[in-house]
Order: sequence, then structure tokens, then C-alpha cells
Amino acid sequence: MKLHLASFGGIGGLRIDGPLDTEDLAPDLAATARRLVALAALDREPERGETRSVPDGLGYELSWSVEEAPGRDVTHRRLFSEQNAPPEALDSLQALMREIVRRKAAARGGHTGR
Amino acid sequence: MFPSPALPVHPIQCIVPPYILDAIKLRGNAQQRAMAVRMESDCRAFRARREQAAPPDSFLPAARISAGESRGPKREVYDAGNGSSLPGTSRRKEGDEPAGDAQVDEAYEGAGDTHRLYLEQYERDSLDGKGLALVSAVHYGRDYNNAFWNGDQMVYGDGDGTIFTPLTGSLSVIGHELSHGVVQYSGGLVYQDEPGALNESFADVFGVLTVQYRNDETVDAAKWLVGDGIFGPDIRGEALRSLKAPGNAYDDDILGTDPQPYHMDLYVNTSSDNGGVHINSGIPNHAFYLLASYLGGKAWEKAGRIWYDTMQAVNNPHATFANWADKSVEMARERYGSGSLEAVFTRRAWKLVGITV
Repeated sequence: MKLHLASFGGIGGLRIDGPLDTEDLAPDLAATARRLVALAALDREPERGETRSVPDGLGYELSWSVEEAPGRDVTHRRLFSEQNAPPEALDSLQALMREIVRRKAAARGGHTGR
Repeated sequence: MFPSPALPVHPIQCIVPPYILDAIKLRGNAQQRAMAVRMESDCRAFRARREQAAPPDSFLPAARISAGESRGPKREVYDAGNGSSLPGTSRRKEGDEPAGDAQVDEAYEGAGDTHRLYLEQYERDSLDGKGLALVSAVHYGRDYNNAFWNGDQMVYGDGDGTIFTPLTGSLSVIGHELSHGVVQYSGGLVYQDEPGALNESFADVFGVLTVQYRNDETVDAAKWLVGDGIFGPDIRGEALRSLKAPGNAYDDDILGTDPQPYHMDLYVNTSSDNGGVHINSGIPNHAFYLLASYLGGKAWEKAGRIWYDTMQAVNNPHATFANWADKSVEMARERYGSGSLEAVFTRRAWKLVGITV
């Protein structure tokens, strides 16, 4: 399954994003990604105004493609904020964002965190 | 801050404008907030037909302290232990010796520096003007790349070591987060689009002023950076934002290029980041920098005073850049005289970023 994940906002207002594919993730992260998509597909996204925006809070945007008919992929999109995301989704989002940053840093040969 | 008892419920509730309800949600007690949410829901249909402004009489300025009166901060720093439960374990309270944990001690000292700026320069005792305790939690989350104000306290992550190092490492970040609290207790600015960008800009301006005040820096000597010193070792950038040169703070493979505009012609229309609150804040940020540069000397004295007065007087959580600019010129005229250099330069600073007053 192919995903695209972005984080945005935060004190920096930074947008960091990247693609992920469960086929080339470590087994534990692939399982995390699948759980996240299942949760995102089931959970209702709050409407604007239902949640309070916290200054400098982080947001996440997840999109994933599902083959709904042979040869026909449909892309779904789900927004999360730190204030409305279920805790298990937040943990998964953060774990996958760490992987995206790790890959980007490794790709340029730089420091890859602790 | 709101008059008690809680707002009465009667038919006229349906003409209460949305910005008043937003203010109640921001500033009211739990009962008032719940009532505001209920009123908002009940009145949605009515409001579509008859939006009618009511006098924003529920805004009260922060309490001011008398001349000569001295009040110290009430700081509390907690350790979240890399979890997400707040506030965490108490590590240092007012008057305690240093804890020996760099993030705990930075949060403590930074809160004190910010409190000192507001108290000594603007006669404001803490975020609410009434000596509110300054509560901070450090070591929040695992490799958490952020710091935020949650409406009650500051929260700081340790960073992941790649993008960020611990976020308490920048005093401007601490001053920024605490200044979100000042906005909240000054009538609030809705965290969306232009009012949200003003909210961010106020936090940036007073974040850098906290640094300048602590270091006793002049306008020319100051760096005018928010979040300098917290990027990881390989990130190509000076800081998160530059008030002096918006759009030039970083240019990096992972982070991209600093997207901040410095002029209304470059305003970014986006649905992301609450309507670009961290992006378009570059415009009022730069207006403040220009004003401070024209006036010279110490930026917290006159430019900071005008911006602080504006926050206290703007009285509209949905304020636009133009509303803020108008009010800032009015505040400059009121404090320094209608033909004063301060008023003329305030108007000119806005004009240079594309807003005519």
C-alpha cells in the first residue's frame, strides 16, 4: 500500500512530507502504517470549528491509495491535528514521520538523529 | 476576565456575533465556554440571516500594576518524561536552585526573562496581568519536534536531533510561546487566516523583544530571529523566521525554503497551517521591524510599546492586518502625539509592507 504523509504547523510552520510504501518499510512500521490507515478510514474527521486550534499545534495529512476495482485506484485523504487525533493514531503518525525524516537525512548523507 | 455570572440565556443570544463567542471560548471559564459552544450551535441558522454586531463590551484590559509595585514570576517547570501526559513531574518551582537539567533550567530562566519584559516595560504582571503562574513542561513526547502553548501552559519537545535540538534552547521560542498566552488573555486573536497570522506575529515580535531586552540590544545589534540555535547540525538555516528578512531564514533539502512574505503583494492564500498563520505573519513581522528600525534605539521601548498597546486595544479576535495597522497608528498617535515621528513611522512601516492606513 502506498501512502503519503505530511506534518505541518508547529512553531516553525514547517511542512515536511514524503511517500511511504508498506512493501519497503520494516515490518513493524509497515504494520503501524496499516493500522493507521485502518483507523483513518474508520474515524470521522472533525468538521472545522469542532476542535479548538492550539497555537503552534502540529497537524498531519495522510493520503493513501486503494484499488477499488481492477486497475482503478482511489486516493483517500485524512487530516489530523494533535488535538483531535486518537492517541494511537498520533503515535503512529509520529513514528512514520520519524521514518520520513530519517530517510531524507540519510539521502543527503547527513545526521540522522539520536 | 469575563463579567460573572455567566452570560444569561435569552432570545437576544442569537444576535451575539461570532467573534464574541470566539472570545468567550478563548477567555471564559468552563461554564462560559460550554455556553458559548451551545449558543454558537443554536444560532447558526439565525446568524446566516442576521449578522449584527454587538458592542464588544466583554473585553477588559489586563490588570496593570501600580508604579513602584514589584511582583515576581511564579514559575513551575515539569518533566513530561518523554510522554504526553501533562504537566508531568515537578522539577523546579519559583526560587528553587537550578535542577541540573538543561531543558528544565532553560524553561525556568526563559519564563523569567519573558515575565520581566512584560512587567518592567508594559506593567503587565504575567500573561493575564494578575500574576498567573507560568507553567512549562519539558521533555514532552519522543523526539518531539515542536513547542506549543496549549491554552494553559507551555510545552517543549527535545527535538529529534535531525531537524531540531531541544526547543528550550532558544529564548525567542520561550518568549514566543508565552506571548501566545498574552494574546489569549488580551482578547484573543482567532487562530486562522489573518487574525491567526497576527497572533503568530505578536508572539514572534515579543519573542525577539524578550531576547533583545535580556541582552540589552539595540535595533541594529539585534539578530531579529525567531528560533535561532535550535536547528539540527545539518539543517541549512539560521532560524525559523527572520523579522528583518522574511523568506530568508532557511533553505534546506528537508525543510524547503522559508515561505514567509514581507509584503501584501506576496500574501499566500492557503488552507494549510490554519490558513498560513506561520507564513503570512511575515508581513506584520516585517512592519514591526521597519518601525523599530526607523525609531532606532531599543525596540521594546517605543515600537514594542505601540504593538503592545495595539494588542490591548484592538478588541476584535477577528482583526485583519488592516484593522491592526489602523489601531497601531491610532495607538502611536494617542501615546506620542498625532504629528509625532512615532505615528508617522508607524504609518510608513505599514505602507512599506503594502497596507495603507
